[in-house]
Amino acid sequence: MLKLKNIRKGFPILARTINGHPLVYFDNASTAQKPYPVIAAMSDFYASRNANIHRGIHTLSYEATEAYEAVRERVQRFINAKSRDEIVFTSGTTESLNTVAFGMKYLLKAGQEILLTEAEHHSNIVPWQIVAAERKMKLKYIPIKSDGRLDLHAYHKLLNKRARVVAITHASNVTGAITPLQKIIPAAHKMGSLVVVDAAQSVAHIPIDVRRLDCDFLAFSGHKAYGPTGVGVLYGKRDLLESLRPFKYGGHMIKRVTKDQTTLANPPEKFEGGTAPLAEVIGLGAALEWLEQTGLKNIITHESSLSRHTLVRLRAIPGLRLHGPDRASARLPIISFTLDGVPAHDIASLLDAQGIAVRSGHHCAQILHEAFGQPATTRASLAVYNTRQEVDQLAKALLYIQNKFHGD
Amino acid sequence: MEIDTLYRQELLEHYRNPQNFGKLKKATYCAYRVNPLCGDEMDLEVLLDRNGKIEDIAFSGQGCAISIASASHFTEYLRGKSLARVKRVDREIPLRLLGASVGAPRRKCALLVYDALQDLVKLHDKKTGTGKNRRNPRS
Repeated sequence: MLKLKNIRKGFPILARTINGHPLVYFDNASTAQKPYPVIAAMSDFYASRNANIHRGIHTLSYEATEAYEAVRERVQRFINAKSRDEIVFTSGTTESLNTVAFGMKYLLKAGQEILLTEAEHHSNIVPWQIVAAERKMKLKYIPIKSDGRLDLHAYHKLLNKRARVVAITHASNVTGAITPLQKIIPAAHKMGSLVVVDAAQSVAHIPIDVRRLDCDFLAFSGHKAYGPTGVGVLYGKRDLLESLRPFKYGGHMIKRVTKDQTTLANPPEKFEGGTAPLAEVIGLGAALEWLEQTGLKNIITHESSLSRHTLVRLRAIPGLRLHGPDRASARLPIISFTLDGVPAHDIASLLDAQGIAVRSGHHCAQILHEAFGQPATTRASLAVYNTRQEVDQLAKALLYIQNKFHGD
Repeated sequence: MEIDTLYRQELLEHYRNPQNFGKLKKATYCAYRVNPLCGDEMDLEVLLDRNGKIEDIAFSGQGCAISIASASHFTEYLRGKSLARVKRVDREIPLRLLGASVGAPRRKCALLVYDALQDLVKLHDKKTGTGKNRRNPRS
């Protein structure tokens, strides 16, 4: 069981007030708040352990290298990768996905197909659009049903031997709908397609086992998993990482440089040109340690009950439309909605006036909003430190806003 | 609370029943603006009379209460003014017309109509060749 009071105490920012109200932070799908151990690990790195890695033989450099590589092994264990060499540090999910898309474009041919879903975040659409246009490939979108779930029937129809890549989110950043990867991935492999998973949203909310999933690539960011911004991870099966070309060339990613040519390093170093975000990697390590200590099982229990409560409270508001699966168990604690006659931005402003932070807009998922016929939604995305009382506050505030707009 | 002052019934009335909302039958210039951050989009049209004064003005599109109310107020304010005069209208005017502080995060919404107006002015300058001198006073 989670001791919610203790959890909350661990996040210094939760003590803030916003517009005279205690902060209610419901924008976790954008970025999560950071617990003390993460902040402390980063500040401690700069205060007493800072040095560049893989370069010097002096003590500090050795220590920094050890700490950096220890995080690689922690990530490996966290997602159950086979080898440390399958873990590439990047600046975030976007760079991870770009590394895959632009790294494999040399292996892609005209007429081959890339499958995406309508629910993808722009970061898992745009790189593939560019690559598809360059390589004269066809881009196909797997449709999303009206409740936010993937249309599996349509997926099987769209999938054929020309498919080379299926790039798919593990969970939608708008509806929270969890993708049934265990059905998606084997079907794609059967057709000879690779599968790239965007785990930006899921990583802090559901356990990830890349070997059990058998995904070929998986990307996530540190900052949505209670870690710092500026660091992310690309997991790739070893032989596949070897076949990708890096797109960042420079120091650290080489074995040997002569006037005429360069021999590249092996993965993961091949993709880590330049000085890595050292303190951020250390912070990511602390975040994963914090997640393990808190226990993903405990987190899931708390968040599912919170999701259920939120769905019940919001459903009781007349004129409020929820977007996403009905059942809390089929989704992350991400709840997007529209309120009759009240634009999303005005909802967000008026909630902010009461200290409640939500996001409004298309959430970098314009294609999904188009499918829903909504230009914008308001999104409350919850995390481990949120409480039922906060959800009740949200529901009460929404009723107030609705009355205000309808002139009562 | 500041924001509650902003969202008073008068503003919401402008949102529910905006002035000059719709399309003109005949327009001299049209501009289209989006606020990519929030997806607000607005068409702004003017019809000039022989003396270059705004004879008719209309806006359409979708937006939040602040952008719609702001456009409603501001188009009323612009009606009857010449484009030459409109050029000198300060960016603070639409904000002032809303009657309460908008706050930094929502300024963009309130100014969407103002930015669309700047596009109209540019179109006018291009057509009449009056813009050049203003941009390069030394030439």
